[in-house]
Amino acid sequence: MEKTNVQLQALSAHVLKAQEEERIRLARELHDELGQALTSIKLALELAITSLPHGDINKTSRVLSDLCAYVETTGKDVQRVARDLRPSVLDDFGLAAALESYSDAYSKRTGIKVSLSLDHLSRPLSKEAETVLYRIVQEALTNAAKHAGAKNISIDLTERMSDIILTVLDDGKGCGPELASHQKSGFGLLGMTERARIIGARLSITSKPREGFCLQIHLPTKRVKL
Amino acid sequence: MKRVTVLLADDHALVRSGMRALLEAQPDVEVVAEAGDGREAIKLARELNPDIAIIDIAMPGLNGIDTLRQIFNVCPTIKVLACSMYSDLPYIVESLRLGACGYLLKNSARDDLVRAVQATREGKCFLSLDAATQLVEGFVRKVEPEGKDLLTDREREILQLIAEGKTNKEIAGTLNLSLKTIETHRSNLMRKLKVKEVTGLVQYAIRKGLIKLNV
Repeated sequence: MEKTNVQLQALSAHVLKAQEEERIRLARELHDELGQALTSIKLALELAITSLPHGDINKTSRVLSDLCAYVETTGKDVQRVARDLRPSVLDDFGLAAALESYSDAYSKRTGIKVSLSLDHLSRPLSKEAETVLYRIVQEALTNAAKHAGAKNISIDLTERMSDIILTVLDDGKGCGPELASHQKSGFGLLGMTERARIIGARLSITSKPREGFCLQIHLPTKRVKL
Repeated sequence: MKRVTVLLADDHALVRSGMRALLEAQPDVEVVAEAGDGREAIKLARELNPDIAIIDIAMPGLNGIDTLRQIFNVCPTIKVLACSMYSDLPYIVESLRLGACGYLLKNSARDDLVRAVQATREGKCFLSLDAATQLVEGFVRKVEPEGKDLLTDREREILQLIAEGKTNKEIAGTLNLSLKTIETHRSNLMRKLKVKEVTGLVQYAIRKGLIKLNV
């Protein structure tokens, strides 16, 4: 029984890792290939428009302009999908920069105000840990926008006695304890709890009706397997 | 008017030819070379010593950011325009920090490219509008980090006890201070943290990891 449990946990770790690797690959392809191709097409279209005879405000020019606009919107959509899959800022600049970028775009999209307080950590996090923390914040913020009717969210990253603590707090309508523990085992957060466990972290949730929703991850830094 | 010489570095041939066409329509601009990756860009820069290099910061191989770093070694007086699909603030800041004198977003290349080159030859900084917006928003958003210096050690100690649910009297006893002192600290805490009720204090304590969440 013990052996099956261990095998199961190893399997889930493997699945989550594979999922993340696939996301990286897909995001890169979307952004680098598809995204760039669309930008190039747009540029070529714009050049084609300028090479039309001057003063020739005819149907062709209008059609080409419409195409340009359409390509631009499509390009932006592709970028958005790629970013949601795997933001390059996370790989190139780390967790804090990625959280700032993400919450900025999130605020603009949802109108929910996000305040960030991200301490400098005494030792850098592993790439794996940064990914997990980023995904958890993504999930928490997505839920806040979908279900909670929140107006303000705070994200705090701090270090306390060799533990790294990430806290996401919203002022939405909250939920009762049964729902909170259901949330924890609901699909979205089940994955998060599992991911947290793999990097040796602990996920806690607390919520009361009308009192918002609080999610906290404790990551001990003394663990060798990081 | 003396022609300004330009090196284009981008791994997408279609982007390069589009930029070349736009630039060559200008009588005082000459595209002297095209590079498909960072190493080629450095090599061509060393050979031809162009006035301006337009570099895509997301090229494979020797990536754009590293190319930026190295190109000034081979051409100390070259002016570099960073070019990118990315409008994320960290890319803009990093490019400028490494010495780029402008940031061009590929999405607005048609409108911006010529003006960017003209501004650069005049020694000015050019930013695509969206890049400028990102920079400004980032600058304005830079709040003082809620430093560990916001509260004194004593205040933090008391905050933790309050968040744990202790009464003023219990806290006074634990810390061997007068009840009046504790009450003063409590109102100072509310004032500093800009909260009106204990719940606000508890939330702050949770966020700063002073007390643990129970579930």
